[in-house]
Amino acid sequence: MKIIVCLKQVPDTEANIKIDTNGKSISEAGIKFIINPYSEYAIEEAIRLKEAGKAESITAVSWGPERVSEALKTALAMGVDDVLLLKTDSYSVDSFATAGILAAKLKTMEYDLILMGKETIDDGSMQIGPMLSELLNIPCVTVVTKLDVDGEHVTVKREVEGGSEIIETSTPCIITCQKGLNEPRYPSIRGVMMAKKKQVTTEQVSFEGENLSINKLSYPAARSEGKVVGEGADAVAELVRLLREEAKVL
Amino acid sequence: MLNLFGQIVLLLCILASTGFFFLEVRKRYRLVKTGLKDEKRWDKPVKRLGFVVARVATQLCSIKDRPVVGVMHAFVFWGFVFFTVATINHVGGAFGKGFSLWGKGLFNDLWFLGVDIIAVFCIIGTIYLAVRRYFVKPIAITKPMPISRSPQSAIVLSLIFGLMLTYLLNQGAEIILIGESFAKWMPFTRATVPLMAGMSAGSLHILNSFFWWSHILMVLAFLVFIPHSKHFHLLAGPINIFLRSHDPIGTLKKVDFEKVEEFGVTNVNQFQWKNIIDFFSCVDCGRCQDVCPAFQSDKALSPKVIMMSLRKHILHESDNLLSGNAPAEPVMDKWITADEIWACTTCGACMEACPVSNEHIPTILELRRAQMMMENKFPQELNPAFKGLETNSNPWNMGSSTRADWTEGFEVPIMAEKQEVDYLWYVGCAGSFDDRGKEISKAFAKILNKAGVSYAILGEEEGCCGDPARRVGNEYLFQMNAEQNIETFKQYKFKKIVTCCPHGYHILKNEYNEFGGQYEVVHHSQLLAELISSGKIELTQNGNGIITFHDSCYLGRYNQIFDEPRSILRAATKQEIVEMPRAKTKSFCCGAGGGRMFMEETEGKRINHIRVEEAQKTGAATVGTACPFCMSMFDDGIKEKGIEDKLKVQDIAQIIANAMS
Ligand code: SF4
Ligand code: SF4
Repeated sequence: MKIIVCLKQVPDTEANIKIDTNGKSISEAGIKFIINPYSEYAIEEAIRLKEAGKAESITAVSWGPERVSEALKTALAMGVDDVLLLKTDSYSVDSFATAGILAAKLKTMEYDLILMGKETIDDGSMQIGPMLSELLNIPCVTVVTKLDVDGEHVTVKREVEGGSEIIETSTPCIITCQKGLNEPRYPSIRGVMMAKKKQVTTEQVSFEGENLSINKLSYPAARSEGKVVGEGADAVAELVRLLREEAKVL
Repeated sequence: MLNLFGQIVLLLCILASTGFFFLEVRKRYRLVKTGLKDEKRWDKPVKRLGFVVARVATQLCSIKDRPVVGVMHAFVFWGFVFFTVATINHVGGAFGKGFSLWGKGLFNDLWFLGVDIIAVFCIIGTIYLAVRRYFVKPIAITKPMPISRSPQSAIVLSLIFGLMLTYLLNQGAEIILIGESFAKWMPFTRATVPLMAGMSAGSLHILNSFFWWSHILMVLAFLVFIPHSKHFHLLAGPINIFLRSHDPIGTLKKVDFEKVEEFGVTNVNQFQWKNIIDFFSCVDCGRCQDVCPAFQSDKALSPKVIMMSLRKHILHESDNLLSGNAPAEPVMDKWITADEIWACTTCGACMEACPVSNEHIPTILELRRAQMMMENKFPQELNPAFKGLETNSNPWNMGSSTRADWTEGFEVPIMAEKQEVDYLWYVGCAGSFDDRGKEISKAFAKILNKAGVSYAILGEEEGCCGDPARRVGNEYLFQMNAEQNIETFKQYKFKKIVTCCPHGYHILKNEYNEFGGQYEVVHHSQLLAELISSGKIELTQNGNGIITFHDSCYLGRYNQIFDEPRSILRAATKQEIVEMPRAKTKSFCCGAGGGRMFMEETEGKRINHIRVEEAQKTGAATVGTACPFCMSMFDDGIKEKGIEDKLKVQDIAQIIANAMS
């Protein structure tokens, strides 16, 4: 079985995000980038399938600028076999454009299983998996917390509001991964050293353009400071009043 | 004198025994030679030799941590030295009647007096040591099982006791046979005479040669036995002391990622040759174990067991190693377990205590390096710390852009604006991100501002010093951290680096130089002491009550800074410090070092609780610390024990800042 992992590089969760002077994107200066945490579940799951003897090869694919090589190197260090970076002259937040670029490439590749994060922590559209499955005309199961592969037979558990459901499908298919699926490994230093020597294959692809673009970015309203109502039992009445009248949550 | 037959038998025995002795020594020598190279062991030979004499001849090696046992051991040691020479006389006597190396004369007489006295002291020593080992049974030498169970000591003690006894009895018989003139200088030997009084000359002769032969045969048996046992330390110990590292305790060596592809020690043939001499030198005395915070808090680790297990392991693999083959089994799991190596706080107490200068920390760290970098096996709690170090250059994974947020509301100059200062203050991760650490930083900033010191911090440009990564064996990540900092330091002009964290202090001062970073580094205790003595800061208040001081391992044992923090505390409190029983070189770790700060402590007692109890027993109201990690361990310990009203912990900078206002 051949696995393809689609991953994205995103700003670190702790990064101090600043809007660029153009008002439409974030400034990348001084920002640390990491692999999207949900993509990490996908990578880990792929490696575990390979370690269990169920997969023969794992290729990680990403669309993005040169800096994304770092993320792909980390994927190599964790244990994927090959990586591919798709580059274009400009980039977009349009999920359909992303899915299109990935689909165009994936159609030329061999795969049985496509794993990816359920969403990215930067744009968070949760759309790429389903869109890609449309374009490739294969099934997709999203928000997966457990994955069993037995030959062509795939059984997954996915999260739904207030519970979970078990779904069966067959390869080829797309699985989007949710927290809880596994605990991603810290790449071994041996892996890091090996990855350092490996080449990240890059490919210039064509980008048809976007149907969707960002008009304006703005910061969230500053959170007002917490309020200490009082101490002990006496404060309860006041707290309830405030919750009811000011916060309007009761 | 023996007859020809006796002489031949004796010669054959000597030949056989020395033959066996040298065969085994040669085997061990060849095993040592299979180790990897290690250059810094032969520099300053005179100094090294001087140290060996100072330690071994005086027996300070053994006396310094255990005075009574040490003196008893000294008796046995000197017995051994005298009897090595006496044996030459003894054997010489077989070939020429009355042979002595010293001929006849006063010196010879004095020599016999010396041997006579030493023999008795040696007997006292062996009896004491035997009683201790088999009746008192201290944990140090009887636990943990099964590795501490061995007949070796019994064999050696009986041999030594037998040697002395047969010597005295043999000489006693001679006195009767030769006459009083012989006994002049042998008061103790003379005491054996009554035991044999009234025997016929014939039986005396038989008895005499029985004692004579027993003595020499025991000597020869001893010779065969030594290299096979822990008593090989007779030879390996002094050599090991000679070869000891001149770097501060626990200093680690660089892994050259460009050159090597295997990191750390997976197989026993990856140790350096000096490590192997360590294994052969260990005497199983348990001094290291007695002071080890891990062992004392019931963790799986005993530094003694590390040494002894590795000796067993390497001997077990000797056929493979000597024929140039790879060892049949890796070190980890069967010979040493993960729980052992991860329990180490790298406090250095073991190295400080070891009479034969064994270097436990580098050995444990090489094992950690291999587990970490080759096997990817390490306590999972370290995962977030590594991620944090990688992306935000701090083990708490707080945004690197918030590193200088603690300065809000303070005047703290930034290097990027200043460009040139006297002191570059390396704040470190704890001082920047940990709530209690930040309080230390604020107090220190306040003092520096008041004293008008020219200083600046790096702010967002600062990164982790790399200590947490390096001490858990993640050398790769450490080097990333170190190289980044060295690059940053290059941009600015400063005379010295000052830091409040002993871990940063040690690593910047002693371990960055292998990466091209050479700095004059001072710890804030040193700068504070200087500011006080030069009158730049005035201490007016005193609200701390009685104070005790906890030596941080990396400041004290690692870098020998004991007096400055104490002088500061004396100046601030205008009174003497009450010392804990374990202070200065013998200080007991808080439990945070060696990356333990970022691992869970589930087994046994909590190390910080043990230390908090010790501090509390001094009756002090405050325990002064000089390390942000010690400070949090104490703070946690005090809270967990619910004794906040009895004991509080403060950094020396906070105590000074309080005393200033
Ligand atoms: S360094 Fe400290 S914790 Fe580690 S083995 Fe030695 S005494 Fe024990
Ligand atoms: S390592 Fe040193 S201190 Fe520990 S048991 Fe061996 S000789 Fe004694």
